[in-house]
Amino acid sequence: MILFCGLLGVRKKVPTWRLGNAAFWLRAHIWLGVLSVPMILFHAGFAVGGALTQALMILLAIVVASGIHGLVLQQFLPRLMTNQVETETTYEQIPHVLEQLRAEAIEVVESVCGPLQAPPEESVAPPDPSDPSAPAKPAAKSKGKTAGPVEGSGPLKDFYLRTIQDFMAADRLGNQILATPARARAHFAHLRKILPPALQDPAGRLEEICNERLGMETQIKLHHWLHGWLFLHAPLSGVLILLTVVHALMSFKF
Amino acid sequence: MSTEPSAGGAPAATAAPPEGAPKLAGEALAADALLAIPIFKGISKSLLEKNAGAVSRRRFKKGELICREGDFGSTAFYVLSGKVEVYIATPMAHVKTSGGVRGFFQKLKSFLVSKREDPRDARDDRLIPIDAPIDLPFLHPQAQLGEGELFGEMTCMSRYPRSATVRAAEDCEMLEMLSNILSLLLKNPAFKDKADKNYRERALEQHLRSLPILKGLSSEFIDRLRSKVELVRYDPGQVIFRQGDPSDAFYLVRIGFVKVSQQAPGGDVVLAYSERGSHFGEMGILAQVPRGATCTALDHVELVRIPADDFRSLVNEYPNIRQAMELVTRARQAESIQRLAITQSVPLEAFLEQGLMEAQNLLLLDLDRCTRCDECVRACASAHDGVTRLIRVGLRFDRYLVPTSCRTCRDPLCMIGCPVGAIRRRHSLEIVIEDWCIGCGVCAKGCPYGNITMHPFNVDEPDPKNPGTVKAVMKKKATTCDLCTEHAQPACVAACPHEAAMRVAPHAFFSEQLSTGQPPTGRAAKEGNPAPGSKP
Repeated sequence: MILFCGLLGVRKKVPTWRLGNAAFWLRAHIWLGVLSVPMILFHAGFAVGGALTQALMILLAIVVASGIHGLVLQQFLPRLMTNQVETETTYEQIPHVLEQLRAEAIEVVESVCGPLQAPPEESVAPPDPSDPSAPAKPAAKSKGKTAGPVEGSGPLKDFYLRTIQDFMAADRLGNQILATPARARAHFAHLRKILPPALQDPAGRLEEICNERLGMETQIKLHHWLHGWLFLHAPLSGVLILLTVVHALMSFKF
Repeated sequence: MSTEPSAGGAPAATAAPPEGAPKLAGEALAADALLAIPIFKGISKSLLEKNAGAVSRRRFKKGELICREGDFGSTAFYVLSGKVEVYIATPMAHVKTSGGVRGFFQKLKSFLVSKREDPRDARDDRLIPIDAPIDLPFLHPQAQLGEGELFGEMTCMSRYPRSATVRAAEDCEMLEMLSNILSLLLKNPAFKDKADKNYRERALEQHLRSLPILKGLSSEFIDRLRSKVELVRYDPGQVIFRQGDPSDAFYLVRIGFVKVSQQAPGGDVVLAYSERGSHFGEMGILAQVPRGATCTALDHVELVRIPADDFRSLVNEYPNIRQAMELVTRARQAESIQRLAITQSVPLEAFLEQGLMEAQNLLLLDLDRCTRCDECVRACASAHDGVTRLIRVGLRFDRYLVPTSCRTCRDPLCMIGCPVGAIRRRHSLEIVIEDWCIGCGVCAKGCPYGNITMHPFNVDEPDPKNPGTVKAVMKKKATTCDLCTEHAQPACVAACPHEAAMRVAPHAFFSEQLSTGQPPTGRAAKEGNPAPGSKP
């Protein structure tokens, strides 16, 4: 029974083999796994036995408990993720999406506040004015749409440099000012009050970007909850199967 | 300006191409030299001078490559002398996933298989439409073109990829021209008469017989038709006829794509796209009613027009053809009624915005059940040689994710523009890429949902530099979700442990949701609303 339960992992490695669909295998895995607990208790005569059987019992308890824990999480976390993360992406793509969001935030701010960093000094010699073939000096590089800052954009730039920049760059949002949707909403509401009408749209886009960043953080957390239990369940199941085989061999020997 | 006698009978003269125009290889010809060639007679010299440099004389040695299938170009060729060989070099094979009993214990893979190994429903006597006055036979896709014939017209006028490889069969001389010169030529009565005559003599019979329903026509009847058919041209966007117009002719598509649409509340509904080799206009004539749909040229279109009286005498003389035509007509009418009914019954804005109305067989992931484990993607990759045809990214509709996977659209935009007509749809709705796909990628670009991928393969091809030897070259074939039709369930659906993945008929599936306010469960949806084409 335990061996069959363990075969679910093998079945997943060969998804195209026509051995019944994966949902059937998962149902069998769950029911047989739960059924194995009373069966083993009966098999052991409700006694814990020696060191090996004690270890087996403990392992079985952890494996079954972690499995039930995972099963329960899978009943409501997908719905929670669907509801809370509007801009969900593939988990592996999250770092790339975050990088894009960071770049977009800079672009939005630079388009109304001017360059965030002063352009580096030109190290090349200035062109000779007497040489007509010398290229004209290029304008200062800016990703933004406007060359100079819009009047009244100082608070937006300050807010970006003090709050959003770190928020977008942080690996963990725990101690960030914008770490919760309510706090982020409050800060942006305050920012909007002090910004002129021309800057309302860029501020709105920045808020959207921050909300997307928050959504990504939520997705990461929920993803870890959804799949993290497998790091305990799967390896311990392997050990359990191994020790069960050892237990069987020993019982034949002695 | 220098002149010299030429094989085409025209004095050669060089001309500089106008600024900004693509530079043609070979010897540019000036207006005087062009007017000496019979097909240019009658064109105003000043017009030719304005387009100086847009036509050149090319000489090719025997065996030399003139153009290669799948390449993009902007020129057409007119053969002045000599013969050229036209053929499709890509292997006659399609991408297939292995199935059957043997596949039970082995990993399934996709690979190229020929019609011999895996027969399809296409007939062996089927002709492959190409961008030339002739079609290529399916079993031996090769033909010759000779003096006075034009090829590359669709590439030149509408920028389609080259539909076939052309190589000089003997030393030959030809004119290579840009679209401005070709337009002048096509409007020139001298050329048009010659082209019409060539078509009537050489291609009409083959063209008519390429239609399954006209296969039984006698040679005598075709001879009678020869003098009556007319070649007509339409520019992109030009209406061929409107819904309600009198049914005065039957049309065969010789070049280009025609959109067939019908008026419906909220806008026109596209009923079909007619590509080269297909026909339209018979419904109104047979039923003796006005046109039931509007036909519009999508690009530069050339049609063979058979007047209604001649068409009537055809169907009266051949009762089997009438029967076949009536069957086609009934099927088309039923399809139109169904399509219009669907259009009128689902008013959901988001549904329309996401193009779900267009879908007939949609892969959905129920996000309330999906644990984002990606088993569906892995299963698809396993079933298709490591290249997934499903990406778990897409728009959401309610609590369902519509991932990137073929939707078998009602309006299959992917079918527009295939230069060799290699993409089609089976009755079971899955998109089929035919064996003669040349890998140009037009269908992949045409799919608005990014659901067609180009699959690279290594194939052996004769090496022209070392005759008798072969060299490995990289070819591509278009692939798309085949709905895993050989299996009871698509691999992605079977591999989902949480029953979150499902293939549904979206209209029925979401109509239930609209009427009851309760989304159907995945299981109920799978049982109650099977997608068209899915197995019971």
